[in-house]
Amino acid sequence: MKKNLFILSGIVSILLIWAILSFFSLVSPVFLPSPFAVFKKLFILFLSGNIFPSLFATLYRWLIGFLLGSIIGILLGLVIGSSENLYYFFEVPIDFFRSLPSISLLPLLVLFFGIGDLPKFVIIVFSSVLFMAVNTSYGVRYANEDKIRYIKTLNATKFQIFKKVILPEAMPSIFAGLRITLSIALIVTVGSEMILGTGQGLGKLMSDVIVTYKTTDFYSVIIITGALGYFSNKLFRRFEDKIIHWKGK
Amino acid sequence: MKHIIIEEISKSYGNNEVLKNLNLEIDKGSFVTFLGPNACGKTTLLNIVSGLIKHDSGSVAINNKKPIKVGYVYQNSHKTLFPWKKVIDNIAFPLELEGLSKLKRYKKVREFLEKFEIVLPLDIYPYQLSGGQQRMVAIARSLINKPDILIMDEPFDGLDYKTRINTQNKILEMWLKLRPTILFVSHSIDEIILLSQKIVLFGKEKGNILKIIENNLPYLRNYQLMADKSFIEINKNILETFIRKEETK
Repeated sequence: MKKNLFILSGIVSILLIWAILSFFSLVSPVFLPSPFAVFKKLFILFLSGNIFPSLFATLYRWLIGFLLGSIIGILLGLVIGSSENLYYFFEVPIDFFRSLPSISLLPLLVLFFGIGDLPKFVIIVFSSVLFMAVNTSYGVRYANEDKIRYIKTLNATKFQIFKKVILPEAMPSIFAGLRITLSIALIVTVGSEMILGTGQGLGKLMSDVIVTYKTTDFYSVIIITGALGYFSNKLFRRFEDKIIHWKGK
Repeated sequence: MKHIIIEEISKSYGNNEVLKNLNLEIDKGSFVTFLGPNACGKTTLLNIVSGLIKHDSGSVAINNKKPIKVGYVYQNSHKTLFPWKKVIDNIAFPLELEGLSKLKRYKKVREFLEKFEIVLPLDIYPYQLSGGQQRMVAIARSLINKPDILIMDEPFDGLDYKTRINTQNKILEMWLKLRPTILFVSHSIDEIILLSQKIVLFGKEKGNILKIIENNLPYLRNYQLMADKSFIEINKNILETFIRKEETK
């Protein structure tokens, strides 16, 4: 109850500050339109259906890229985490590319793959793979030694040790990785749409409306994108709590 | 009949020689305890017998129909329980590795618990149990597949006195009915006298055996036995052996 009150207070405070700044014209409406105008625009965008092609295009790229990248990343992480030598082999390249803002590689990918959807997918998958591989390999490497020792006393095969202990032990780390990757993938999706400016998508829509100073539209799309990230994270956390019920216990 | 014959085994970790030319014979179905200072090689010896680690030289012969089954209850046995599996699945885990169907596993677990009058909530997860119940799950799990050898390394460490006595009684009851060969490590002299038939006293260095004491007190034993003259005599014998060793240094 108290928690919800604080959450609500946070949202109301931001809206209030925004309304005050706008009402007293402390910031030009060109840069900061009123919350009323933004929410009205948001309503119109949904009611007219004009937002849907962009929304669906972003959702499609984001979720496909995330899924593909996560599958590849998990498989790579499982392999890397199982072998000390492989871990050291991949450590520097993965950490290097993970530290690099992946979106900066987009111009290079355009050279390789053209300006269609492919470079966008490649960059989303690439970022997802990096984060998932790291989290998965950590989970595998730091699986509880006592549990591994215990199953070894039962003459378990290597495959049984992996399937019955290491994989479940790595699950909290894999799920934490999936949650982070889901957010990263959305950032990269919208970012790549903004930079490339081809096809449809929320990022493309943002770059289109900002050049014509349609800031009300811009803020509306920002809210949609933010809501997409926020609710997907919340939903995923619920799913995670249900599946990985033993996390932290 | 001799069950475990240890001849001249030595084991080093780097330059640190933990066991040197150790000899020991253990009868089938006996309850043997190891008592000695920390880092005297007790756990290393247990790990060698269980097959978890290899000795550098000497031999360990186990007179058994192949394949040998070993149950292992660790000092932190509750940490070796699988939090993603329900209590019933934790207890049934060795049977799962043996390939038994779920139906048969569950039947065996229920029969086992009934036989020893162990009451445990089976349909919840280990982290929802008390510390004492978690130990009992670990012990039940180690005995469910009727191991030939049961290794217990300070299994009651951290339990309150009442739970400790109850668990000791349960162990004795299980041992008398199932008769595995038990190798038991504890730092509690009373506990050791209360439980075992043979007490092996280790010196501080390289796993040298100071003395082997036969404990012929009749079973079933309980804490009231602690006031018995023979009990006190064994206690005195153990303490004198360690004190004499200190003085001759």
